[in-house]
Amino acid sequence: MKTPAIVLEGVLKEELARLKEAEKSYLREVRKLPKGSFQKKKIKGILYAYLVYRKGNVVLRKYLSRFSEAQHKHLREQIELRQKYEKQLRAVRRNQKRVLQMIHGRKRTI
Amino acid sequence: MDVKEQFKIFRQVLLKFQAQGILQDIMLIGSWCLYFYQIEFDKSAQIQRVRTMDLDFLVPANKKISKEVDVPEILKQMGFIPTFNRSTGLVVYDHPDLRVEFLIPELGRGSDKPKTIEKLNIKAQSLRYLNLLMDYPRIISDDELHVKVPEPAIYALHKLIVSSRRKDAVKRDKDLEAATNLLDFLFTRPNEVSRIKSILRTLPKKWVKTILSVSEKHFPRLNETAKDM
Repeated sequence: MKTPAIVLEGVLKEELARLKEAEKSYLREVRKLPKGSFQKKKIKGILYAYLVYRKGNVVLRKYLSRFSEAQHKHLREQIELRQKYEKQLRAVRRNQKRVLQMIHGRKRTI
Repeated sequence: MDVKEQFKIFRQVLLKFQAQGILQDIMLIGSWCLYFYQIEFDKSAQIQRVRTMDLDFLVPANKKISKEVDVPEILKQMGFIPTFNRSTGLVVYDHPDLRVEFLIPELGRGSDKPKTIEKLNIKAQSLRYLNLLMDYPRIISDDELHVKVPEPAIYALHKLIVSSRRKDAVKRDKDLEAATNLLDFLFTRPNEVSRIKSILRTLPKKWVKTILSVSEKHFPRLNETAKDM
């Protein structure tokens, strides 16, 4: 049997591979979902729905229709799900960084 | 990896599965069992709390599940995401701190393809010797959780037997370390030693021979105990 340190390195490498797979999976799901955020704007007492997103450096506000709770429910859920996945994706990348540091140690600057 | 967050997710998954009524049919296997063994043996510090990121569940070989539950949907609500292995067709569920995987005992000739569990809408990977774990269940309670895990004795013996089949040296060493650590503890408890003996008596001779050939090098005390049988 090898020393616990070698076993631990193996576990860390296995975890790194898992995190890379998880990153791919989250990216795949994020791409499927609508980007941007949902906004409502009240003009002369009437609510209008917009999808606000970034294209390069420009923020675009795309008019959807008059706001309707039922009509826009699905879109709002999809955007919420994408935001949740993006949060998880950041956590996956953070974990990847930590595992890499555990395997190779922190990079030292001269 | 945030250990606290990981533990929170681990409990959330179990509680959700319990609420859906599937925890009574499937068994928690793998390194997370050690957490329940600690509870069973009054939080003994001798049982190492080494846990991997894999949260493995064993589905019965006959696929007997009492309720129909959409497991992928439950996991999706908790932030898990399906990861597909195109070459094998297996689907596992990833989270930044955990991976949920389903396994099933491989019987007969076996096949590389995962088995579909229709009632749970999942695919389970079939592996040899997992029926051993299913044959010796123990239900351990932790507050409101009641989880079916393999008996500690069979957990350790199973690790010894699968280590002999491992091609990956790292995984083999991990199995051996897990087995010897747990056996070290179990041998301090006479009840557990007699349980090991009674389990060894029920196993096929070929399997016992494999177990003892591994333990001869890594845990000779088991061979001494087996002599008395």
